[in-house]
Amino acid sequence: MSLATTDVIRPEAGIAGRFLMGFRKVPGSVIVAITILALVAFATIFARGILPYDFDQMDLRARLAPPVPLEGSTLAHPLGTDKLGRDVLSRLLIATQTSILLSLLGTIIGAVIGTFLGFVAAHFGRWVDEGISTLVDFQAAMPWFIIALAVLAFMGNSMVVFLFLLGMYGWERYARITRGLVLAAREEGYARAVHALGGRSWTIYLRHVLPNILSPLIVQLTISFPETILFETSLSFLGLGIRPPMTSLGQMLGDGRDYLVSAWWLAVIPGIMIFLTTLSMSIFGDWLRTRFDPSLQD
Amino acid sequence: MTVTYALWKVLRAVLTMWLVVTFVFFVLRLTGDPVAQLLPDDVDQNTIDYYRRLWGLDQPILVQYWRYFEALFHGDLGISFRDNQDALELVLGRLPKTALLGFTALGFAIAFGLPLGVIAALKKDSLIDRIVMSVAVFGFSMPNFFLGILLILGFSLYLRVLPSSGSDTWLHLIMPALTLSSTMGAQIARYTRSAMIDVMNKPYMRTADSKGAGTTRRLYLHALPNASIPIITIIGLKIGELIGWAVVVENVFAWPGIGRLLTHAVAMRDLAVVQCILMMIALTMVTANLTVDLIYGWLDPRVRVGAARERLQ
Amino acid sequence: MTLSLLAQTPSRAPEPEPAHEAFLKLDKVERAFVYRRGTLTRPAKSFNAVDGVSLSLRKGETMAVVGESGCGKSTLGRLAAGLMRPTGGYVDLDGISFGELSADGWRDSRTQVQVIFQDAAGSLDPRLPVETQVREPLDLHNAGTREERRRRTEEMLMAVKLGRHLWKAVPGELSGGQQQRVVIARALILEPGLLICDEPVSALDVSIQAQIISLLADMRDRLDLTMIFISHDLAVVRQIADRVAVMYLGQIVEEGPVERLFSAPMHPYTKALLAAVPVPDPAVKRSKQLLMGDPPSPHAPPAGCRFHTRCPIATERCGTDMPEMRSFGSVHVACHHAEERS
Repeated sequence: MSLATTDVIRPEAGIAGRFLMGFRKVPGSVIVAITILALVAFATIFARGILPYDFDQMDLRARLAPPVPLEGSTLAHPLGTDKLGRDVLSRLLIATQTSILLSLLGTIIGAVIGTFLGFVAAHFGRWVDEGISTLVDFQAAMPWFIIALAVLAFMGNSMVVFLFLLGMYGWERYARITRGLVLAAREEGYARAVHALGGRSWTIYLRHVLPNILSPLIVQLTISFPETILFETSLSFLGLGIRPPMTSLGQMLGDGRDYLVSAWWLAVIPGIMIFLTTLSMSIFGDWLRTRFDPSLQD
Repeated sequence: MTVTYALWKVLRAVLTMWLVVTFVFFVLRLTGDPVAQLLPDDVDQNTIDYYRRLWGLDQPILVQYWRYFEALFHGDLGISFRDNQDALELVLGRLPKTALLGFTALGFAIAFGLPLGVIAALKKDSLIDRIVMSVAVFGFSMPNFFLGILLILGFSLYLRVLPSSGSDTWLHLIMPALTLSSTMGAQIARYTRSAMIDVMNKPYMRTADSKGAGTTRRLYLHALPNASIPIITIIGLKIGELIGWAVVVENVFAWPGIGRLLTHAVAMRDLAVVQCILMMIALTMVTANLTVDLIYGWLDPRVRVGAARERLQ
Repeated sequence: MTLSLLAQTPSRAPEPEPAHEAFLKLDKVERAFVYRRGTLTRPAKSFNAVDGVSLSLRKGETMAVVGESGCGKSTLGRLAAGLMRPTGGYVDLDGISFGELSADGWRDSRTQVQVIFQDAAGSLDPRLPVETQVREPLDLHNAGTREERRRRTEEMLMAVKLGRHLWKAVPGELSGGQQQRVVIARALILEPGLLICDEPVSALDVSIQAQIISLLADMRDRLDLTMIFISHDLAVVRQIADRVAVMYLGQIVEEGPVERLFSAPMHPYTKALLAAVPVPDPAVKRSKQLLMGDPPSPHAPPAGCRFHTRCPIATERCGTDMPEMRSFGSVHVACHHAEERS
């Protein structure tokens, strides 16, 4: 590692100091992305606390009111109302909370399972590896979206099943990445050295291998999180994921689609929300990737 | 590429196919009773039993499984509960529409994505590069059903230029195809860009550069075919995703293809049709993966597709 | 484990006491490597990187193993450390036979023997501060309380003379010599009885080499280490070894006390190696005894004496009969013509 004359990092700074020094220059787009993500996170956590209205509270006198700048709107419902007079802003907050939480949970489940299986395959090798690799191929060959569609339709409205399907979406990518990285890391000098010092395999994995392979995994997280959001919203849009009385961003969009002529905002507003979230996540993920590994060209 | 390698890959593909079919079979049957769903609520038990027997659903599940495979080998994929038509026929009947949509979308995706990716690579790190890549990021962050809705809002409802549903004229094709092509086009642009950058950094390209611009232009025509290998790979690997998106898009635009058939069948609990569609989709995906594997094996036996997949992800 | 050994001021006894028990004993050790996998129709092809080596070291002795690349000295080092299992013969360290250990037993044995390699940076985790890495062996074997481990680590870091301001640095911020000091500290913190050094200074600048060698000698004296020092550089070996073993194509061809070997080598290969060592004084005339030809491939060693294809005094007998290891006082040589002066 060469130390440029302009950025001497003092060794006493320790790990934390080194990390913070890395934030010297962040592109504007990334800052915007992070801001949006922070707002989304805020909305997700505090949705119920900041609701102006109950999300299913009906106000039949103010049905299909448009959002604020347009005529016919009221300040009482800044983003308008839907066919039952329910406040769009409130519904948006709750829907965001549902979508984001579900997608986050699903992504994490997939990541944990995939990474774990990747480790297991790399560690035990031979038949275990073959078996897990076959599972990986199998998962990759399955049109998971379509299968989820079928399962959800046949199984009815079950949150557990939905979460399971979300979680299982994409685990195989983590497994593949982890397996490859662990196999390579095991051959690294320091892994062998710690083994020669008397370290147990799992100690080596947790202490030395995992931290060193964390960055590609985190990058993968930032890729799969938006994909999971799209997965969930697509299914809900088709009426299969989150169904009334619950609401999610996809569900709102699906509902709103029927009112395109009369109340286009019912579909557009949740759509923009989805778009902004996935876009910000992608931008953030791209930036993370260039930070972690400047040698990658894209 | 050795014969062993090819045979092994084919075997793997067949095994995967079988696993998928089995998985789908059991999942669908174990998740609810199709008969009760299908018939009106006030029907009596005798009728329910009759239909159950008619469709062979009263047998233990393993018997059903065996029967299913038996029928499969005779080319019989069951009868649609709803229409009483042969499921396979039904599905194949809708295939052309989906194929039309799919290939058009693929065409758009390549037509837009490829040149954009090349331009971005050639002008790497310039403003143009950044703009193109931003467009690409926008492209695959945008949920395609939302894009479809926006297009409908803009072109059908506001400008009244394009029809929003159905598939009668070529005008009907534009919006759905555009919508479907957006995500894939963006991905193609990104991967083309990085593949081109990789190729351009190779030593032989730089030597050519120093010899003069005319030669380089010709070499770009060599570089591009080299770079197209990863592009073919993504298309192959992402076909499954494409099919998934197609289902959604067909629903948004009421395009009468397999995707729409699937949603209807699923709503109707039409087992045979759902299974048939799932099998065909799985077959397409497995074949696509296998083809990519074999192409890679042929081009360079040392390069495992797994490594390429990892890089692409 | 007491820390008193480190605190002692070093003073090495001029002659090591002749203990009759061998501390480390290698008996006709072999190690085969497969270089072509077997198929259904053809058996796998392997060769012996180490082919029938017998050595014994007393406690506190330092044995250097020298030879060209590919002679098997690194493999021998690994075998002596128990990092590899011999495919023939056995390795015995202070009563522990490496071949018979269970996984747990093997892990415990790591407190008795440690290895230092050439690539110091490669042996260290690029992410962790060096202080943590030096302490790690104590954590792995659960030695002492947290406070004791912290103190021990400090003592060790001071003993290898690594500046305090570098203790929290990561390996990438240290120079090659500093990294090697860290590696030495980490290897010795459990106070093993045997230390194997595999080309520890070959990747370092010459000026740093002397410092590290002197550090190793110092630590050896303080901790009463038995050491195997592997190198292709004879000049370096002279500073630290008591005895030297010369290896060629998997076998030991000569072995004896260091000064004896340097002043009166008996095996033609040893003579050739010595002749190749640059001597700074241009006035010294030496007879050039260059080796003829290229070293044969270890996969297909020559028949008879393996060195005979490059030996200036080879005779017909050398091409057919493998020479036995014979003793001439404290020196052991494997050559048909050892007695002859040249």
